[in-house]
Amino acid sequence: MRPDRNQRKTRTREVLAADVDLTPIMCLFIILVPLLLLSAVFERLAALQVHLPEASTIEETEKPADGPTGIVELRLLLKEDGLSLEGTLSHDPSGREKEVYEDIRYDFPLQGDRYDLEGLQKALRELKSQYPKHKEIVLLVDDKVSYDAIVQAMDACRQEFIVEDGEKRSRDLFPEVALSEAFSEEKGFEGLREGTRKIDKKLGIR
Amino acid sequence: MAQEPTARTGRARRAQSLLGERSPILLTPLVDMFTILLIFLLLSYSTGGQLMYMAQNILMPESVSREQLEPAVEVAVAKDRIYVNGEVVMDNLAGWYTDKKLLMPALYENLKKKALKFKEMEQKVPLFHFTGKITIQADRALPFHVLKKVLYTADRADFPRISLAVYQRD
Repeated sequence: MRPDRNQRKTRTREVLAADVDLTPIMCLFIILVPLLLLSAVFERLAALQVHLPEASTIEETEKPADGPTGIVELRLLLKEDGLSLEGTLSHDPSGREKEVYEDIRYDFPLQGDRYDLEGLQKALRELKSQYPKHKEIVLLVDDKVSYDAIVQAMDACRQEFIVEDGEKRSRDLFPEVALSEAFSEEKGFEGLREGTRKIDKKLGIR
Repeated sequence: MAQEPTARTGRARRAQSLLGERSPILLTPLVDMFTILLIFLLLSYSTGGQLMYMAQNILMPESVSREQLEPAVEVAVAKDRIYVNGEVVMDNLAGWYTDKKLLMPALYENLKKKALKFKEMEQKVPLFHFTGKITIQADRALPFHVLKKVLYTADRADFPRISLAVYQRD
């Protein structure tokens, strides 16, 4: 009898050890996995704020007066044959007011078929270190420049990435980017006003 | 034949009774796979973020921007058509690649109607404010002069706070 009982004992232990009920966890997985797969985001979206020169006049009244930053205006021209950075300076880096506004201009010709964004960032970094308070830059874009090139140029103007202690960090350059066209055509503007008036009338707006 | 079910040996029958009546499907690898998949999906799960109508044939540019998209009226500009909130407003853009005019009448009318509706709502609903926010998704190959027309039209139609939707780049 003894060896027989022993045998039965080990047999029950074996059965107990093997018997984890996986059904509830499978149920959970089967529900959770499709749910998460459906809501998975593989491409993350972001926003880029742009200001239009016309619209920015509204905001100017709300803007706190920080005093002169030393730069009257900073413009980046995006043309088919390259970039040009233009600026009008009113102060020395030391804060002394200039007697006559000084114009600066740097040209960055195309590198192969791409814009020389590294060169641009170098110039912007230098300007930023001299005039740290200035934040605005206006992009003047030529008609045939692609949207992708504009966004890349905007990125280069907004911030730069530096490696500090083995860590990648971003530093603001000129984060307030306004978008404008390189050569405005008066005729186009006139047509715009005419067009809106007609449609406004149709919609019953004065 | 030795394999006939009726002619089973005693040993085979004993093995059968040890395993139980039916041999179970091995669930362990399946559970392993599900666990790994679940952890991966949970890690890539983002709670924030704004749902957008993703229009077809639009490949947006990539940017290092980390700003979140806010709820707004969505204008999608593909190479040949324009959508507003997922509905086609202009379906032939070919002419606009050469046209000098800045205003796109169909788009203007649609957006202006929306702006008017929002303004009306602002009067009726106390906590609702019309902010004039608009999100523009545009194809990366689009030339600036087409985009410019969309921007001007949106601005004219009382949507001056424009954000461009882009893909995040690391």
